[in-house]
Amino acid sequence: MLEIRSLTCGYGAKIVISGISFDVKEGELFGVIGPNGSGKTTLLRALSRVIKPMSGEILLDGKNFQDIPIRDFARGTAVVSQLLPLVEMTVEEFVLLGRTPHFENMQFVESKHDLQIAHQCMALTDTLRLRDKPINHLSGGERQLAQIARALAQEPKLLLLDEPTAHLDITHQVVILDLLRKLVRELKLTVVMVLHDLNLASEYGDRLALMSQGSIHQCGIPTEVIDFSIIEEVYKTVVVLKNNPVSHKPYVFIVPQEELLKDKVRK
Amino acid sequence: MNIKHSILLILALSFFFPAALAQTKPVERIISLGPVITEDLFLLSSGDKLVGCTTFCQRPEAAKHKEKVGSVQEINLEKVVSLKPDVVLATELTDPRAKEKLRALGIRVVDIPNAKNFNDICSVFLKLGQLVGQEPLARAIIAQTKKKVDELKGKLKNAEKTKVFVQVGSDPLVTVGGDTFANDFIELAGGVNIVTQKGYLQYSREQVLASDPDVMIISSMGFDGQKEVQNWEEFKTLRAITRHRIFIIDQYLLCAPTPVSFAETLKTVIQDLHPEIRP
Amino acid sequence: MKLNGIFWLMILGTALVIVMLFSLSVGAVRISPQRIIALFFQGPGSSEYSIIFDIRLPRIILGFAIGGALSLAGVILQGLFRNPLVEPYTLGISGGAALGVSLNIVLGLAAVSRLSLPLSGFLGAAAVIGFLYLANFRRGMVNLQGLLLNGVMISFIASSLVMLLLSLTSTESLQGIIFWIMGSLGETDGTLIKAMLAVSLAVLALSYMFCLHLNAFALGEEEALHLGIPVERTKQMLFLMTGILVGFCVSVAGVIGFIGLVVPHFMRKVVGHDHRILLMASFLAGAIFLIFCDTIARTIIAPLELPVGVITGIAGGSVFVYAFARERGQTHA
Repeated sequence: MLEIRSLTCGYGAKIVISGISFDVKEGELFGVIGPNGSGKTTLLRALSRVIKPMSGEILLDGKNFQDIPIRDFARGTAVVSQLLPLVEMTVEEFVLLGRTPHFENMQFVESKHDLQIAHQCMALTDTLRLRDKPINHLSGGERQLAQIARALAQEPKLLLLDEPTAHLDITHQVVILDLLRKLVRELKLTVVMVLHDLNLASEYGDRLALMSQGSIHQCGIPTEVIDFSIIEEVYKTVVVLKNNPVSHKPYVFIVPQEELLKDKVRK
Repeated sequence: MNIKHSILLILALSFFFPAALAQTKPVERIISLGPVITEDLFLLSSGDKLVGCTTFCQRPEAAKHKEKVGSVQEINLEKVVSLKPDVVLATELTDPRAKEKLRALGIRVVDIPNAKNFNDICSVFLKLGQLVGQEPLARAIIAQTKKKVDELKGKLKNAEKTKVFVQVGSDPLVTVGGDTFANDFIELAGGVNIVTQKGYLQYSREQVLASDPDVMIISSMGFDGQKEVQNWEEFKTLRAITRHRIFIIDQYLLCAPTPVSFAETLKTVIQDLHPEIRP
Repeated sequence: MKLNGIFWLMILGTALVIVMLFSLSVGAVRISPQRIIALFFQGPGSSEYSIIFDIRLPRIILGFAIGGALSLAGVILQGLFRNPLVEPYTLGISGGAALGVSLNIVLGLAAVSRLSLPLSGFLGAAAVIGFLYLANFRRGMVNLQGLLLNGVMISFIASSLVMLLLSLTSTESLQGIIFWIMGSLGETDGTLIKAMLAVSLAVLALSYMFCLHLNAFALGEEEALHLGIPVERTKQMLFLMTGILVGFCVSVAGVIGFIGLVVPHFMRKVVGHDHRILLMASFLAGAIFLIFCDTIARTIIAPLELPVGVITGIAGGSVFVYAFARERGQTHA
């Protein structure tokens, strides 16, 4: 669905990512991981068309990004960003904004169909009960779910998320990631998300791309990428890997310095 | 004269007659947009025809009780229209937009030019006299004034030229040069203005001290005239101060005179400049 | 909720008609609304007809066009910059116009043609718009923060230059410049009034093409982009539209402040943030506000007139402070 070829991007004269090439298949949950400053966010911004590539290309269903008008793009691709500026609107109004790309040329008011879709998305994300609350009054987790609802209201085939679980408690983390998995499995959505939490990425990602210093260090299924030597090389910290007892996916354990020393002393 | 000539004559007259008629159509309701015009109208015995004037028209006493249509620059169009004037007398300061609008509404607006010297006053006064049908009276007043002025000039034949400084504004200090009334007064009264340029100009106290005039005339400027005199009295080196030759003259008399007030003011100025002459 | 919006628009529409009738009936001469209607059918001839239809009505039309325009410009700019303190004059357009007019008066060009004054005002405004456009619209990207800063700087520079001119010039010019700057709906040229009305309504109609864009803009430029809004083009168009609109307003009527700041702010509280309602609501409310203030300005010390900018400033400012204080009280309570 998504093909990235030798992508090089940056801000002004500064290059942040270079020579990025990978594919995202339709109907998969793709995770982008990597240390701070590795270029994850820049990559996502290139994929969401906020920044233009310096060289290289991105193809969506075979068509070059440059050739897709922004409105058509928004009808197929939705983005859930991390920060939302303070706005004064209710959750329902907010989610309805997601229908904007689908408005006909002279349409000013939402149709019944638009309202229906918006309500469905809110139901899916369990935010229907919050519909009349001002969005500023929601908790972090609720707000993230509302943003996902808005993105879903765009009826996208591709969903891009930038750290959807940052600052959230484990309840919301699981709720959101379970929802994303459900969307991928049942609605055949394609999801590309940037995650900082290796274990969540390992648990939920169908395939992962590990970034380091502006390029892709490793790309593949979680067991290929979450390998202790790769992780130690990229993150430059000592880790221990075991499998999750329930799902058998790789799990990364950090090793505090204290324990290291104890270990050395014991040895 | 044969028939053909008579017909031609009648045709010619019928062309000009309505126009002439329009010019001499009696003017019963007048609105004045300037204080000098208002004063002049009263001098021309036409005060009763004045139905409206500006808030600045304070002379004569009767003018204060007339309907006000605005200030000299800003005219309340509604008020003017509601007073149903036959003619509106505008000055050079009147907002041209207002004049245009009034004319567009079918109201006759006559521009009265600003008088800058004694001859101008007389010609403007005559024009006004013709407008209100008081030409003979106008001519009489002008003749009287000219006679008075000539008399006064006669008395100055052997007087020596006095150096004069006139102040019409403070903060900033403003004086007057050529092409103004104050200047006319000075010259006709046998004086010499220390300022040689024309019109109203900003001046500095230093320049006045440098010129050291014999006489200083301060206009009343509202009520600041007295204060200015006190300011000047600090400068004890000035000739005008040591000899107590500093005088206050009402600003309207000094800068916006009518023919009648012109003669009166000239007399006062002569007395100030040449106390030895008994005019 | 949509119904709520329509309801408010109807109320505003009714209020507008009431204010217009009120304004038509007061002045140097009191003329009742019934008499006005009678005069309308009677046709021209009487001085009363002249007063109503040749003097008061053009003024009210101008109040409608300019009050609506300034308020609309305020709403659009506040939506564009996502800053409730931005108003039509923040960008320095009024400063440019004031400078243009001051130069004209000082150089004595007004004597050449009466229309030269509004024209020089507009040229001054256009110069500022042009400069801001060139300085901040590069490589297809619009820098909003830079635009704001440049605008504020130009405002300061322009007012300093105007003050310089004021200090160097003669008293008559001084009065002329100051009167113009203080703002007045006294413009009498029929063509100018019609032009202003046309521009005002045209921009209102055009702005509706961007009402959805403005709604999306509330989430930020990036989010708006994600929603498929052509962000750069939107910024360009809205900037040019409001620039030209404000340039016209200032050229025709001088600087009438506060409407562009206070009215949108107020309407946002009353009808909400949806620009589909807000644009029209602000326009109508601005028109009502200015017509009302102008009526006070021309009657309170009749036959003299207060500059309408004084009334809008005092009325607008007081309302603003009161509303703000109430808000603070509520959040603290």
